[in-house]
Amino acid sequence: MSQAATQPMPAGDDANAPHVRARAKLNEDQMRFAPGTGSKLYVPLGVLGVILIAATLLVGMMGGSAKQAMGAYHVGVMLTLYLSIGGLALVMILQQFNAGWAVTVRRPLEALGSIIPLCFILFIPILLIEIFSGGLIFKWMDPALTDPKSSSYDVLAAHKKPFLNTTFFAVRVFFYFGLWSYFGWRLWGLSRRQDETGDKWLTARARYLSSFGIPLVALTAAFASFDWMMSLDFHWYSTMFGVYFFAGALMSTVAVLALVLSVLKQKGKLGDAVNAEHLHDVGKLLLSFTVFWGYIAFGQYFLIWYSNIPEESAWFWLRQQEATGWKSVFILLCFGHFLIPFLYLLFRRVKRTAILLSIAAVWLLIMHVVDVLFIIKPALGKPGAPMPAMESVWLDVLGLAGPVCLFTAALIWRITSSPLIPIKDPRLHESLAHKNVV
Amino acid sequence: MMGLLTRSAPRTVYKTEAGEVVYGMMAEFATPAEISHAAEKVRDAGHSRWDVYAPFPIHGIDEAMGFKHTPIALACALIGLTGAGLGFLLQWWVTGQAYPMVVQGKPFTAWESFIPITFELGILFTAFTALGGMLAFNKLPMFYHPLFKKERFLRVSDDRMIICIEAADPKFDPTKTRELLESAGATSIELVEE
Repeated sequence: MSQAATQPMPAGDDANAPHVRARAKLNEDQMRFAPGTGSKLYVPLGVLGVILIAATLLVGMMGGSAKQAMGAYHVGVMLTLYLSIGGLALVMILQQFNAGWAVTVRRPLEALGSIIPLCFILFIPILLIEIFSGGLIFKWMDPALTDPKSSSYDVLAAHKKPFLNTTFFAVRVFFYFGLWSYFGWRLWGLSRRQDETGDKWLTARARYLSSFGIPLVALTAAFASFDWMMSLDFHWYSTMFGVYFFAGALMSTVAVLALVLSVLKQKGKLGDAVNAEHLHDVGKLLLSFTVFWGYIAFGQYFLIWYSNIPEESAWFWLRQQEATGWKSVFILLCFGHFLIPFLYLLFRRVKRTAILLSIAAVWLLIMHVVDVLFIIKPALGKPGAPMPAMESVWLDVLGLAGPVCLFTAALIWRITSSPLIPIKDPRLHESLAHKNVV
Repeated sequence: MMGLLTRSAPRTVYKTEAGEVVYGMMAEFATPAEISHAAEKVRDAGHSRWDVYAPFPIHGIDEAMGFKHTPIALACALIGLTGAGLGFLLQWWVTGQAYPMVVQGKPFTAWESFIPITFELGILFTAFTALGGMLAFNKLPMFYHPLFKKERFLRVSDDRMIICIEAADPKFDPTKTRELLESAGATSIELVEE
C-alpha cells in the first residue's frame, strides 16, 4: 500500500509500454457492447425474476407448503451466493498471484464478485421470515428446543446455543455481507477505474487488497456455509463442509465463466483477446475443480461413513433412503457431478472448443443445482423423515428460478455496460501472448 | 522420437573421405531466435529425423520443430484406468470373495473403503507410464551419442545451439542438406561420424 500511495499518479500511458502497444492491436468494437445493448435482455429477465419471487411467496402463503417454498427460495439464494463468492475468491487469487494469462478472462469474475449486494437483498426475506416465524426452515430458532422445562428440549441445540442463536445469526449475516460487499465493490471499482485512467498502480492496490482479503473471505464463506446450509440440520456437523462449499463455489463459477466467454465469442466479441489458449486454461480449471469437488465430497462422505457416529452419519442416512428417492440422487451426483464430466473434460479438444466446453459447463451447472438441492431439501422434512426428492419439483424450480433470474439479469447488466476485458491492465500483453506448453 | 515406432526404410549409407560412416550433419547457431527460424526451415523442408540441442529451453521451439502430440497421454489414460480397475478388483476379490472378514461391521464388499487404494493404483500406473514412456520415446538411458565426439558440441552446454540432421532421414542429401542449413544462417556446418 505504501508503495502504491507514494507513487505519483502518471499523467497518461507511457506510449512505449508493452501493454499499451498490445492494446493498440485490439479491435475496440470487439471489447465492448454498444450502450443499451444488454437492456433488451436484462430488463425482462429482472422483471421475470421479481414475478417468480412474488409467485413463490404467494404459493408459500396460500397452500400448506410454506416450508418447501421457503426452502426452494433458499436454494436459489444459495446458488447466487456460490457464484458471487466463487467470483470474488478467484479474482483475489488471480490478483494475488499476479496472473498475467488471466487478464482477458477476469472481467466476468469481477462482475460476479461485484453483485454480492444483490445476494444480500435476496437474503433479507429469508432473515425476516425466519426470525418472525421462529424458524420455518432453521429449526434451531425454536425457543422450546433450548428450554430445559420444555418437552421438546434438545441437548445439542442447547449446547450450540452460544453460536446458533437468532441475534448472533442476524449479526453474522450483516457482517458477512458487509465484508464481501466491500471486497467485491473495491476490486470491481479499482479495475473499472483503471479502464478510465490507465493507472498501473491500481493493480498493485488490488493485489494488496487481495492479500488479506483471501483469508478473510475464505473464513467468512466457510462460516456462512455452516450458518445457512449445515445448520439446517443442527444436530449434524462436518468439519469439511466449508471446503465442500468452496469446491462447489469455484466449480460453478468457472463453469459460468466458460459459458459467458463462449457466449461473448459467439456474439463476435473479444476477438483474439480470448482464444483457444485461454479457453484451454479455463477448461483445465473446470476439470480441476470438478476433481476437487469429487475429492472433497468423497472425503466428507468417507470419514463419516467410516467412523459411523450417529449424529454425523444421520445426515447421509437420510440421503440414502431408497423410498424417498434420495439414493438415486446420491448416485446421480457420483456419476453426473464427477465421473462423467471428469472423463469428458480430460480431452484436449473439449477444453479448446467453445461449444464442447459450454456443454460441460451447462451440464455441471445443472448438477450443481442438484447438489445444492441434495444439501438443503431433505433437511426440510420432519426429524428422521426427509422430504422426498421428487415432491413438487415444480415448486423447487419456481422457488430457485426467481433469485437465479434476478442474479443473471444483474450479471448481464454488469457485463454489457462495461468493457469486456480490463482494457488498460498493465499485464495485458502477457495475456494476449498466452500459450499453453501442452 | 518417431524412430521407435516406424521401421526405417533401407537407406543410402554415406561415408566421409576417411571412409567413416556418416551419422548426420550438424549446424551451429548463436541465438535462440536464429535457431528457431532455422528449425522452421528444416521443418518446412520435410525432415523427420533431426533434433535441436541448446543449453536452455527455448520458448516455442516445439512449434518451430513441428512436434506432434505424443501417444503418451492416451497410454497414461488407458493404463491408469487399467490400474484403477485392477486395484478395485483385487480388493473386491480379497475382502469379498477369497477371505471375507467382518471389519467394523461394514459389508464385505463395501465400495467406499476400496476407493483410496483404487485411486492410488490409478495414479501409480499413470505415473509409471508417464515416466517409462518419456524414457522410452527419448531412447533413454543413452550411453553413447555420435555428437559427443565433436569439439563444437561442447559449447552446447554453454552458449551455442546446434541443429543435427541425421543421415537416416529420408530427405538427407549431403549437398542439399548443407545448402539448406547454410541458407538458414548456420555459422558453421560439419559432418558427424557414427
